[in-house]
Amino acid sequence: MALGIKQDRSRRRRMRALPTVVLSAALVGIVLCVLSITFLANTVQREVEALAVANSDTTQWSLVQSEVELLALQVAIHDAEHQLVPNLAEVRRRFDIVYSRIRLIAESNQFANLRNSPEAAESLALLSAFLDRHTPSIDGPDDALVAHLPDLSRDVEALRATGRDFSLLGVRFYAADSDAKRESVARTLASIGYFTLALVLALLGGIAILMAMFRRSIRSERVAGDARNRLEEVIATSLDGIIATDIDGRVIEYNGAAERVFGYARAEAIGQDMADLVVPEHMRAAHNAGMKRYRKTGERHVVGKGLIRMEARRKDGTIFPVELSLSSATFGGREIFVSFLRDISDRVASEQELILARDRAVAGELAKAQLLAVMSHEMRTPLNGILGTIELLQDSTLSAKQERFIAAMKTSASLLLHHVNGVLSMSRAEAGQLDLQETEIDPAGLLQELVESQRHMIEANGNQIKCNTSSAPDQILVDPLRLRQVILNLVGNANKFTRHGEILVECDTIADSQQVEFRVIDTGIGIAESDHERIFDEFQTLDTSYSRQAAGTGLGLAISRRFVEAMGGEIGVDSEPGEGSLFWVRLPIGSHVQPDLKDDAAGTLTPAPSDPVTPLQPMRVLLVEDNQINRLVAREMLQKAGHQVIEAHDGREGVHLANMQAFDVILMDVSMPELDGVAATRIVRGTEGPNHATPIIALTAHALPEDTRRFLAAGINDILLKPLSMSTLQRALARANHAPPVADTASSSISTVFADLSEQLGPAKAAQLLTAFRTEAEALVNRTTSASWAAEPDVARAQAVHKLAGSASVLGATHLRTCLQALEDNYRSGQTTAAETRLLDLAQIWAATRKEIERLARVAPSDQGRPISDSAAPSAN
Amino acid sequence: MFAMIRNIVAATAVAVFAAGPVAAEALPVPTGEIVLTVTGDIQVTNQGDSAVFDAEMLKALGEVTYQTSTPWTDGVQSFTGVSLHRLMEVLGVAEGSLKATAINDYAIDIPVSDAVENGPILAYLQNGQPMSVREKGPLWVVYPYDLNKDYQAEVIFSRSIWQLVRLDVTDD
Repeated sequence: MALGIKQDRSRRRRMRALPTVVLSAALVGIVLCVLSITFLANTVQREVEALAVANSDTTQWSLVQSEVELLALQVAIHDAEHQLVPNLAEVRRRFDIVYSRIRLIAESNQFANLRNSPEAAESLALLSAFLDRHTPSIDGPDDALVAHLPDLSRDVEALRATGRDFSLLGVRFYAADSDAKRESVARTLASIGYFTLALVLALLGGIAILMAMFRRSIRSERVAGDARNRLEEVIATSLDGIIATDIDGRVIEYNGAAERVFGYARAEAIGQDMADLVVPEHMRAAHNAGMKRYRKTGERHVVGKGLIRMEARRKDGTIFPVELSLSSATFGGREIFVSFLRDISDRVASEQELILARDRAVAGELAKAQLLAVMSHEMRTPLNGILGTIELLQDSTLSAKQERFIAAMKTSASLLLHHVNGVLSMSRAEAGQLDLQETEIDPAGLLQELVESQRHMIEANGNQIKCNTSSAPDQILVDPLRLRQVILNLVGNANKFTRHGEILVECDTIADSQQVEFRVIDTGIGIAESDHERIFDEFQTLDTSYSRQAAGTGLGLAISRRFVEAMGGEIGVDSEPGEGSLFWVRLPIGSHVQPDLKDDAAGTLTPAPSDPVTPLQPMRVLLVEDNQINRLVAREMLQKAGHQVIEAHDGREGVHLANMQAFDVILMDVSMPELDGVAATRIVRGTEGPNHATPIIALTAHALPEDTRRFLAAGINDILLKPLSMSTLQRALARANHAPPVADTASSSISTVFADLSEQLGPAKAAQLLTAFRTEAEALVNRTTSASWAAEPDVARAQAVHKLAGSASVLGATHLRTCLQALEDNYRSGQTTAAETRLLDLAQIWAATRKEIERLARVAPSDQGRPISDSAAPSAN
Repeated sequence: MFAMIRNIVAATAVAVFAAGPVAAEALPVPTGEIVLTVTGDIQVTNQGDSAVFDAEMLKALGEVTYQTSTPWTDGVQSFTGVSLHRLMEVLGVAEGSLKATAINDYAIDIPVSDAVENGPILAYLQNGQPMSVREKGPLWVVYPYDLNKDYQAEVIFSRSIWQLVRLDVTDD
C-alpha cells in the first residue's frame, strides 16, 4: 500500500518532469536548427556572392570577344593588304587588342580554373606563341610589317580555329561549372528547407508543450485556488482561534474565531508580535526564550506536541485557559507557525465544579462511613449489655407480667441489633469489604435447615412454607453464610408481604450451564414492574400497607444483591401486583476445590441458626474484658454453661494471669486501654507460659476482614462478635475445645482411646485399665494435696508427675497429660510458685477427667469393678 | 541651339547656386594625344560639343590611387587615375548616365550616380606604369573593389570598362 503510494508519487513526479525534458530537448533542437540554418544561409550567401562575383556570362563573353577581336585583326590585315596605302595603324591597334585579350585570358583570375584544363593550356600556349612570333613585326618598321602581313594573315587564319575551340571549351567548362554551382546551391537550399522544416516542427512542438503546460498550470491554479478558498472558508468558520505567525512571531493570519476569543480585530492583530497580543505577561519571557531557542537550535518543546493546556490573555487583559495545538509549516522556504487556540474557560470551570462535587461527595461518603462505623460500634456495645442482661434476667424468677415485658424488650433489642447489623453490613459491602469464605456445601440441606428454622415465624403469619430441592445439585461451592443470609432475607420478605398464602423455596441446576438457581416464590401482594429495579437499591422500601407493618431498613435486598454479585451470581425478580413474587438467585456451581475451608472465621453477622449446642465439659475460662457490663454478661453466660471463669479487668492483668496458670480457653476483648487484646495475645503466644497454646477467642464489636487477618496473625484462634449470645458463645467454646492448636491429639480423647482399647482388648479389659488409671491418678492427686508433698524433693515430685503423665498420654487424657508435663517442667526448673498454681489446675483437670472416666467405665460392663492393682493405692511414703 | 540654351541656363544655375569650383572653367586645349573624348550633356567643352583630354589634362584634374585586386588581374594592384566624380564635376555633370565606349567598340552605361568620392576612377597608371593598349590602357575604369563590397558585383564588373576612349553623357 505504502509502496503503491510511493510509486504513484514518483510517477507523478516523472510526469511533472516530462514536459521540462521535452521542452529542453525542443529548445536544443531549435537552437541546432537555427545554427544549421544560419550556417547554411551563410554558405548560400557566399555561393550567391561567388556567383555574383564570377559571372560566367561575362567570362564567356570575354572568350568570344577574343575570337571577335582575332577576326577584326584578320579584317584589318586583309584591308591593309589590298589598300594602296596600307592602314598599318589599324592593324597595330587590332593586334594590340588581341594582345590584351590573350593576356587577359592568360592572367585573369576569371580564367584560372579554365587554364587548369590541359586543352585550354594547349590552346593558350598556341595563342601565346602567336603573340611572341608576331609582336616584333608589329612593333617593327612599317615596311617590314607590310612584308610580314601575308604571314600574319595566315597565322591569324590558322589561329581562328584555335580561338574558336577555346571559346567552345570555355562554354562547356563554364556550363559544367555553373551546373555544379547551381547544384551545390540547390543542395544547400534544400538543406535549409529541411532544417527550416525541422525548426518549424520543433517550434510547433514547443508551442504545443507550452500550451499544455499553460493549460495545466491554469488548471492546477484553479485547483489550488479552490483548495485555498475551501481552506479559507474552513479557517474563517473554525470555532478555534487560528493564529499564524512567521518565525519572528509576527502575526500573518488571524481568523474570525481568534477575533472572538481574544478581542483583537484582524486588522489590529496582523503584523503584531503574537507574544504581545495573547501571551500573558508572566509567560512572555518563557515564550520568547522558547522562540529564540527554536530559531537558534531548531529544538521544539511545544510545536507538534499535540494539545497543550496553557493560559492566554484577552485584549482586556483577562487571563483565561486555552488549549493550544502548535504546528509549523514551510512556505516558499520560510517557516511559519500555526497555532490553534481553543477557549476552554467553560470546560475548565465545569471540570473544577465536577472536581468540587466529587470531593464533596467523597467527603460525604467518608463521613457517612465513619458515622456508620462509629454508630455500629457505639450502638452495639450498649446493645450487648442490654441483650446479655435480658438473657440473664429471663433465667431469674419472674412474674408472668415481667416475662412479657422482658420478651418485648428482647424483641425490640433484637430488632435494633438486626438493623444495626444491616447498616454495618451494607456499609461494609459498599466499601468492598466482602471477604467470601467459600466452601462446598449441600444446597438441599442448607435450604431444608433454613426452612425448618423459619417455619414457626412463617406459620405465625398464616402462611405455609414448602421446600422443593429434588433437582438440586449435590454440592456447590459458595460462601454458605452469605447464601444463607440471602435466602433468609428473601424468605423473610416473602413472609412480610404474604398473609395466609404459600411460600415455596426451590433449588435446581440451570440446564446447560454451571449455575444453580434458588427461587423463593410467594403468593403475596406482588411488586409493580416499575419497582423491579428499584427494590434492589439501598434504603428502598415500598409504600404498601404490609411494608408499613413490616419495619425494615430497606437494605435487605441491596445487601443480598451485593452478596450475590460478589459470589459471581445474579439476583432478580418476576412479579405482578396481586399475583405474588418470584425472587431468583443464580450462582455458579463452582469447582470442587478446598473442601476443608474454615467456614466461620468471622461469620457471626448472620442470625444465629438454631442448631442445638452439645453440652461441653466444664472448662477453665480466662475472661479478659475491661467493660464491666460485658464482663458481667459474659461471666454469667459462661457460668451458666458450667464453666469456671477467671476474670481479668484489662490486658495487663490478662497477660499476668495467663502466665500464672493454665486455662482451657481465653476470651479476649479486643479494644482495651493500654494493652489491647491483639497485643496481649501476642505476648501470651510469645511467652513459654502455661497458655502458650491455649485457644484464644477475640471479643469485638467490629470485625472487618483486615481486622480478622490481623487477629489471626497475632495468634487469635476465633472471633466472637459482640453482643454475645449464649448460643454463639457455646459454639465458639466447642470449637475451641477441638481446635488443633489446643491439643494436637484432640482426636485421641479418653473416649476414643477407650473405644480402641475395647476393640482390641475387649470392653472388660479396657474398663479395667481405665479404672486402674483412675486409681493411680487419684493417688497422685491426693498425694499432691497432702502437706507432705511440699516437703518432697523436686526430683521425686517431678518423677511422680512424669509417671502419671505417661499413663495419661497412653489413655488419651490430654489435658491431664499437658498439665502434668507443665508441672514436671516446673519442678525440674525449680519453679515452685508456678507449680503450686498449677497444682490447683491439676485438681480441676483431674476432676473433669475422672468424671469422664467414670462415665466411660459405667458404660462398659463392670463385672469387675475393682482396681487392676492394689499396689496403686495411695502410698504414705 | 536648344541644348546650348539649356546649357547656358544650367551653367547660370550652377554659377548662381553652386558658386564654387563647380563653376565651369574653360578647359585647356589638349597638346598631346587625345586619350578621352566626352560628348553629350556636358557644361564644359573645348572642341566643338565635346570635351577632349590628353594624358596631361587628366593628370591635372587630380590623381587618386587605390590598392585593390580585380577579377582580371593576379594579386593586389595599384591603380592611379582621375576620379569619375572629379571629372563629372569638372564637366558640370550631376545626373544622367554615361555611355562608355572602348577602343574595340565595347560599350556600357555607367550611371552618373556612380561618380562619387572614393568611387570609380579613370586609371592611367597600373602599379605606377602607364598602361598600353596591350595592358588594357590607356584608360581603365576601376572601382575600388576591395574597399567597398558593393563594388564586387557583376554589374560593377561590367562597368569596369578598359581601353576606354569615349564617354557620352545622356540625361536619363
